[in-house]
Amino acid sequence: MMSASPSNERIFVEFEAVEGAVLRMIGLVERRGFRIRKVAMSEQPCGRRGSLALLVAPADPGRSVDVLARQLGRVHGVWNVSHESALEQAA
Amino acid sequence: MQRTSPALARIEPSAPALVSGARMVVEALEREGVRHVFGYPGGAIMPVYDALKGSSLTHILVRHEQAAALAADAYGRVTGRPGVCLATSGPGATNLVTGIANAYMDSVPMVAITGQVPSALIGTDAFQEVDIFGITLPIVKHSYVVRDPADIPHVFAEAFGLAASGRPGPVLIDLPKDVCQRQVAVRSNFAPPPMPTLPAPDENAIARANALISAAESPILYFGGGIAIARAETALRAFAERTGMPSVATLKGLGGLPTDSENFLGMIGMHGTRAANFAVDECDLLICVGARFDDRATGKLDTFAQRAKVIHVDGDPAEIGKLRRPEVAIAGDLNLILDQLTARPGIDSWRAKCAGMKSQWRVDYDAPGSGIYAPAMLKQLTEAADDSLIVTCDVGQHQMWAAQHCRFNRPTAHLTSAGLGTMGYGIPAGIGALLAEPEATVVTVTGDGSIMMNIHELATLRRYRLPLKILLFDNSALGLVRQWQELFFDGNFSEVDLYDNPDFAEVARAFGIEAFTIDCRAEVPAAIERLLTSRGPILCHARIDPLENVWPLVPPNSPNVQMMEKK
Repeated sequence: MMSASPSNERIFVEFEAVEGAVLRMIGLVERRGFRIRKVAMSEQPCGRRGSLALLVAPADPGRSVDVLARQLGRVHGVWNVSHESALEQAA
Repeated sequence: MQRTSPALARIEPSAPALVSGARMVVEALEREGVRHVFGYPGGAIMPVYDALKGSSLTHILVRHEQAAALAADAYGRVTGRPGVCLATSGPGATNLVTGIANAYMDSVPMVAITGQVPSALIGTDAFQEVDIFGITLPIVKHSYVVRDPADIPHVFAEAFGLAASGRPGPVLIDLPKDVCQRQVAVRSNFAPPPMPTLPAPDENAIARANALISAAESPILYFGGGIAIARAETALRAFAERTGMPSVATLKGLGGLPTDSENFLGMIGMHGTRAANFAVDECDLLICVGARFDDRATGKLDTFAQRAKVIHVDGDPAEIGKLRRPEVAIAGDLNLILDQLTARPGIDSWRAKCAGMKSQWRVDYDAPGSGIYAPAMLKQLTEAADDSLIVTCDVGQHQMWAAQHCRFNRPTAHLTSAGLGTMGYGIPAGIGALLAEPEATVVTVTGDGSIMMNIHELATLRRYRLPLKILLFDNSALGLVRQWQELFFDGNFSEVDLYDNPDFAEVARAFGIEAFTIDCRAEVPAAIERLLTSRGPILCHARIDPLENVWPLVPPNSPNVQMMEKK
């Protein structure tokens, strides 16, 4: 359990669970200047659809999670990206 | 975890024929309309090379895999279709990496195909095994490791579609050797996978943009490489003509408007024109089309066009708001959007002011002495060339001089490694451009540092008798680094002296390339004539003043109006 600072954001990604998909997304988040503070991933029984929940914090105030969400959204195989501020304690 | 994309519709099983994976690779390339493949054979990719024989594909054997990727990059820029490069596993694959990164940074369509050790050996540190899929994850638009040869037709169809659609980029396909060797039953007819499409322009945003344009008193049109990607130069020119708006370009935007257009103020940024940088500084509305507020263009970002409202138009929604929050954002096809920006601002006085700045600060080509002045030679060269001209640049001072002083009348007339800044791009890019557009006059502008990065590609020019015209400016130094050490490191020159360069003309002749050396300004007209009329590959080695610098210059992280000028 970690406490979330006001700058923390939760990002939820639904994606096609193909080879390298998780690595591709996590790498993108870090390269774009966000620290990953928590990761949870699940795969539906059919094995084709995955979901990823991230708690991230920008490395500096100039980083926009809106832009990050759009950058994730253009990754091939990503179907949906949403995000919300994590003002309260991270679950 | 799935082995390949489940979005790929599987092949129907009726009437199958046995085909090897390698044969399917070649057929997939043929189906995509590929004509040229740039590559270099080796162990793990040998099945594909075996299948290449007898195909309709023309393989261009380069002398280093990096050149294969860079040539494919230029081919992709000129044609708008993915350039294809091919290499073996391990070092063959890693040698592609710089070229793949180059394509990624400049949004160039490319399909890079690598051999891989057999599936059973992956992860065992086998001979020439490297995780090229993992290595390239940050620099590809997408990538595949093909685990089943039956997936090859769909993987290739999807890869080509992805590479060229939306914001283009490189796609990597890694092929384990056993996948290429295995015989599988397949049908060749299948439905191509659907590709992502650009969003329709937001009508409300278009209306707000038109309102801002109507109300603007001092607007600037700021365009970049997105124009070439969208093939939107016709729409851009119509918009510029309709509005009469003063305009500026990024390095990659050059050629979007003809260099000699009345209201075109030139390139902005670190080595931009004084008129362009000052006009942007004064503008009250900045219409950014297919550009991304790159640091080389904006200088100190929070001082860039700080009085201006911004309309940001881009094919990639993820670029909008990345570095500058716009008042109006419009994502979609640049052609459609520009055609709908129909407002006409009343800006006669602003236009006259910009024209005055352009005239007042025009370049002076009268340099002292009798030595060769590179800016003047480049200007004369492109004025003498026909409209089919394509200039491919290496990286350094000569690259900036080419951007500043050459005449470009179409976006594909200027192929430069803008994002990555890859020394060694020039000659491979010239090869790719000539194969993409054989009727073009293709000139590589290079320097004595850059040419050595891929000088072996003179052998490729010779082998295929490609009539590339190479203009080599030799200042016996890594000139741009030397310039920065002079200006920003107190003249502490460290490892920039290339006093022991070879005789480049002799080197070229050893490769079987016509070559000559000039030292004096008086020799320039004849040299240009000889370059442009040569029917085969030719190199002009021009010795220039080692102390010449690129001017103007905005120091890093400074406002664009703080320009250093030639003393």
